[in-house]
Amino acid sequence: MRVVLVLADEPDIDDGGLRRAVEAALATADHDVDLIDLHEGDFNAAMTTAGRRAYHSGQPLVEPDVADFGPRVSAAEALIFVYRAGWTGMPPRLKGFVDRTFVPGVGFHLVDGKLHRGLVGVRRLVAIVIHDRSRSEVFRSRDHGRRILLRTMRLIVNPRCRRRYVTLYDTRSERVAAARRRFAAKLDRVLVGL
Amino acid sequence: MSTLVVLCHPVPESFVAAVAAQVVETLDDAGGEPQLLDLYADGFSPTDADTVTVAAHQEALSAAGALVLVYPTWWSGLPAMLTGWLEHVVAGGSTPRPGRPETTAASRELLANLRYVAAVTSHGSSKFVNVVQGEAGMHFLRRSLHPLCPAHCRLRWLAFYDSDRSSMADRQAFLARVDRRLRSLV
Repeated sequence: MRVVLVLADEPDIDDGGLRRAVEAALATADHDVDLIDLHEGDFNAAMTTAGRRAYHSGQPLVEPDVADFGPRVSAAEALIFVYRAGWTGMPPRLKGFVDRTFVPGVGFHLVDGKLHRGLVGVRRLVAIVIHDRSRSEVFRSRDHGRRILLRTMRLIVNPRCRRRYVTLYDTRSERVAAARRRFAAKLDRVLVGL
Repeated sequence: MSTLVVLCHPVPESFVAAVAAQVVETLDDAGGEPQLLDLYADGFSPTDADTVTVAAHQEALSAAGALVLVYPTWWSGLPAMLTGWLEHVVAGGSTPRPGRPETTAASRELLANLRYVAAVTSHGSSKFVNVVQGEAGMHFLRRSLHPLCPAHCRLRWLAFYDSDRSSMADRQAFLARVDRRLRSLV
């Protein structure tokens, strides 16, 4: 399966253990992986003035740091997001990627004010997330990141798209070792079985 | 008491910027002492905010008696610029956890003087589509930001839906609604 892997976690935390686990699992299953590392290069998280002015122009990806994201996500069969959730659910870098990449002509088409799906080739949406907070705290906060990536995005991808949320909660607690093992096992299972 | 108005939109001639101008005008007229913080004009960086800027914004926030956020809702949530501002300035770069008072103390102190928080935001799609999408931004303000404010602090949601199909009359009606609702809060 043609996978676009969007990495938004800090590369130096855990010595990149999460990234390595994800990449290893995808490599075992022989997926064709296109890696977008949001910490590499000079990716600007905030929507730019020029980008917003061009938003409805038909050629919205005018900035060099996002110009090639459009064709890359359009070619994907699976979109995988990897991040560590902060207070606002998903890091600003990843929200910036969503804001700036899934623009009209890529993520969706606006015809007479009506929204049409743009990524009908995408049949799998996966978010791999490490939360500082506990499961119940994240549930009560209504998980900004999960809602955007797995629920809002559902309106622009293939209607039969499968969604998976692979999470590790409460990373500061003492009982995390068993949870880590379950997380690693689920990560492997989901990515290998895409 | 002054009101901190945070504007987050990259285009100065946008409708959201016009809404912010209306907010400032209304508050000025009603005695809300507005203080405008335009994140794009100030060149705020949502990923690498420098400590001097963050400290200045925190000082402005703790001195304010009310907070008005003016922003576009993109992908049912807050724009990256505003999430970056909230994480750096309000949360101070850490994760406040409701179950752990020591992690929320700093944010609570910053928000301690607020009498109300108002979100003034535009949505490209209708209310119905936003409900299907999960209204992530609204839930963030209700569930994560508002609980850190003092008990008497009110939260007001002033939303403009369906802006992709809106007419000039709709937009003017929204400006009038913003004016009316804010006057009742001040």
